Order: sequence, then C-alpha cells, then structure tokens
Amino acid sequence: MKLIGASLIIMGSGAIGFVVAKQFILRVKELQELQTALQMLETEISYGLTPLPQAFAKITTSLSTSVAELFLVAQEELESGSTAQQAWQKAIDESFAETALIESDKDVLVSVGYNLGQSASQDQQKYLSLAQHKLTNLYQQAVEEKEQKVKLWRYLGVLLGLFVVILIF
Amino acid sequence: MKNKATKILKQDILPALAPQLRRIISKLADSKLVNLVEIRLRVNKPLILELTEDELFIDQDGLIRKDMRQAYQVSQSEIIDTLNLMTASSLYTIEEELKAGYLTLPGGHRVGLVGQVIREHNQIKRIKYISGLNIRLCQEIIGAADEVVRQIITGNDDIYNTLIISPPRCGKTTLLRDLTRQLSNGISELNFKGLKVGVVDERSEIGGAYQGVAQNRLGRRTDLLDRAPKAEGMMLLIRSMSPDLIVTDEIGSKEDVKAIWEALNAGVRVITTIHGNDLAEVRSRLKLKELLREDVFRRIIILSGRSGPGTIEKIIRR
Repeated sequence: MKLIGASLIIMGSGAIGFVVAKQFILRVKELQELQTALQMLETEISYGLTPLPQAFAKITTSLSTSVAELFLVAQEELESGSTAQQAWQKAIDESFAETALIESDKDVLVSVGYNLGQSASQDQQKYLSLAQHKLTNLYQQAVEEKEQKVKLWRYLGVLLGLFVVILIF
Repeated sequence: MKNKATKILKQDILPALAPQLRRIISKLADSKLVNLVEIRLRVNKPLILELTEDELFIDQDGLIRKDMRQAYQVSQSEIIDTLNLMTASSLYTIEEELKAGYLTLPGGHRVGLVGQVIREHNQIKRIKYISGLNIRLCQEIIGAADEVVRQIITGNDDIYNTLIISPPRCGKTTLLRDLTRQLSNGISELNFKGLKVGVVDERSEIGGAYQGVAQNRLGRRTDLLDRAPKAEGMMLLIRSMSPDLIVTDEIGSKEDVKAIWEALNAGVRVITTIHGNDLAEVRSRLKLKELLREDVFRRIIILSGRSGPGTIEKIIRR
C-alpha cells in the first residue's frame, strides 16, 4: 500500500516537471514556426501582392503548432470586415493562451499589427524583416533556455516527489 | 432599372464603407437612391450623395438635410477604414492604383482618390494621406446601345470604326460596354454575326473585372485584357488574340493614337471613346487631328447629359 502511494506521488510530481519542461520545448518550436510564417507573409506581400486574408489562409495550412490558430483567427476577422490591426490584435488575444509563448514574444507579435497592410510593399517588407530579426533573437534565447531548463525541470519533478515520499514515510 | 442602383449599393458599395457611414446610408429609403451616381467622402467635409441631377446631404441619423452644414461630417479615420475595407486591409496591393489615383471595386465601381502626392522624378509615385474618395457606381445597362448599334454595323459581319465623344458622366462607358456585348454575341434580329472582340480595359471600368474575370457582361466572343495600358494592350491583343474588333476607353495620349493607327493598319476595327463636348472641340486637339481628318472613324457618336446620362445628341456618318 505504501509502495503504491509513494510511486503515485513520484509519478505525479514527475509529470508536473515534464509538463513545465515541455513548455520550453514548445516555445522554441513555435518561435521557429512564427519566423517561417513571417517569412512567408513577407514573400506573399512583396512578390505575390497577395491580399492579407489569402496570405493568412496559405500560412495557416502550412503550419502545425498553435501558431496556425493565430493566422486562422486573423483571417476570419479580416473577412468579417475588421481592419488588419484589429484582426491581428483579436487573433493574439484569442490564441495567445494556447501557445507556449511568453510576454516578450507577444510584444513582437503585437508590434507586427501596427503596420500590417498599411503601406507600400517595400515598407511592409522592412517592418516584417524587423519583426523577424527580433524573433530570431528571442528564438536564440529560447533555445538556450530550453537546454538549461528542460532537464532541470524533469529532474526537479521527480526529485521533489522523492523528497515528499521521504518526508511522509 | 429602378432597384438596380440600390441593389448595387447594398451588394458592392456598403460593405466597403466604414461602419458608421454604412449605418447612415443604409437608413435612407431605397426610393431616394434610385438615381445615385456617386458617393463623396472628404475629410472633415459633409458626406454627399450625388444623384444624376441633384445632391443629397444626410445627417448622422440618415435624414436628408437641405442645409449642407447639418450634414454628417466625414472623419479622417472613416476614410482610412473605408480604404482598409476596400482592400482587405492590404494597401500594398494597390500601389499601382495609388499612383494612378483610383482603384476599382469588384463590380467595376471606380473609386477616385486624392490626398498628398509623393513625387519621384517629377512623376506621381503614389498618394499618401488620402483625404478624399469619390465612389462612382458602375451600372451595367443591358440594351443601352440598341439605338447606336444599328448605325454602326455594315453587312452581317463588319462594323464601321466608331468614336464616341462625351463629357464625363454622360454614359459613354455604359454605351461602350453594351456595344461590346451586342457586337460580340451577335444580333439575330439584324442578322449580324458576332465578332471576336478584344477589350483593353485600362481602368477596369468596361468589364469591372475581379481577378481578371469580367463581372459585367461583355459578350461570348470577348477577350478582356484587364488593367493593361491602352497602347501596349492593343498591340498585345492584335499579336496574340486575332480580334476583329478592338474596344478601348478614353484615348488621349500620343501612344494611344499611334496604337490605334497600328490596329487600323492591321485591318482591325476599332471602337473607342474620348472626352469632349463635340466634334469641333475634339478636332482642335493637336494629337487627334490626324485621326479625325482622314475619315478613319466613319461613325461619330456624340453624347450629352441633356436628358439624363446617355442622351445621344448626334450620330455623324461619314
């Protein structure tokens, strides 16, 4: 009986550690996808002169993480008659909680909205390049963080469980 | 015809207007809008609806006011919102249009733009800070050319080169569009076979094309070259689509005239339009002198707005 209880505690605590660690892995993945998405958007705008709703639709289909949701909501909002900034902001508000991104990532995303669609394609390219540049920095930070913290959290979870077990028994 | 302007307004125009403007205009009774021609939006100026022979000022509750000062004032942000709605928030897709000073909505409605011009090498690079919009309803009138078409066909498969002279807003594009449709489809009661028609639609007003496909009826044998510069477009059509007839709107530049000559020399018939009040006035313009002197155009149609747009003043046969 004691044995079952002890292993349950360790497993539970270990799982929490794994979940926290997962967030670090996911964030790296999502930042990477965001970079790809903005790169695609830049191409669609500068070469294809594709209107935003169609460009967003294309991007949505080529993404796999929760970032796809962001572009999907933005597209739906645009099609229902919002301006680009409103649509983008709404998309962030609705889909940000689903992602593993953090506040500093959000700030970059929000800044993308300020100029979205509002100028000639050359200017659009510049704004998007700037955002991509910022994302690259964040991505590098995220990778470092991931390497440091994934193992840490996993061990921490299991060890914390062990500690509790020792304390109780 | 009666419900048409209001139907167009609801379908094509209102969704493209800023929400507040949309709300105000949709409060108006349909009967007031039958003769709607233009909607004018100017920053901090009253909202004006231009009818064929009148103008309407409306206040924020959608009531018609006699005094212009009581009319609803359009704000800067409403103009920006409207532009965003017209372009799906993608202003970068209309760079060329911002250079030319107009854009075309699906359905062929032309929106004129003014504001601060950015210059480059003494040419307009684009318009920034847009301060005024003029939305012109494009109305397709099937049968508008019934009277004219009899005058310009000869035999059962040929027509005379035709020039339409008209002041702005007197229905020249409407006439041209219906002529195109009838000549392309053929007219069974006149025993006229259809022609292969090439349309160069620089301003997207004839076909009202959306993504290259005409939204207006231009006939079954019509090839539409949308948004092409006239001179270049005409040459492209002659080279690649072997048209019997080329239709184009509002010629004026030296290149246009040259391209028309080329078309005529290639044995292609031409129907085109030009801004002006009468033949003498048009003839006085240097660039066009030659084109008019040589009896190139055997039919000249003069339009006016005397009894509504599309009034045919005169058809000159030469």
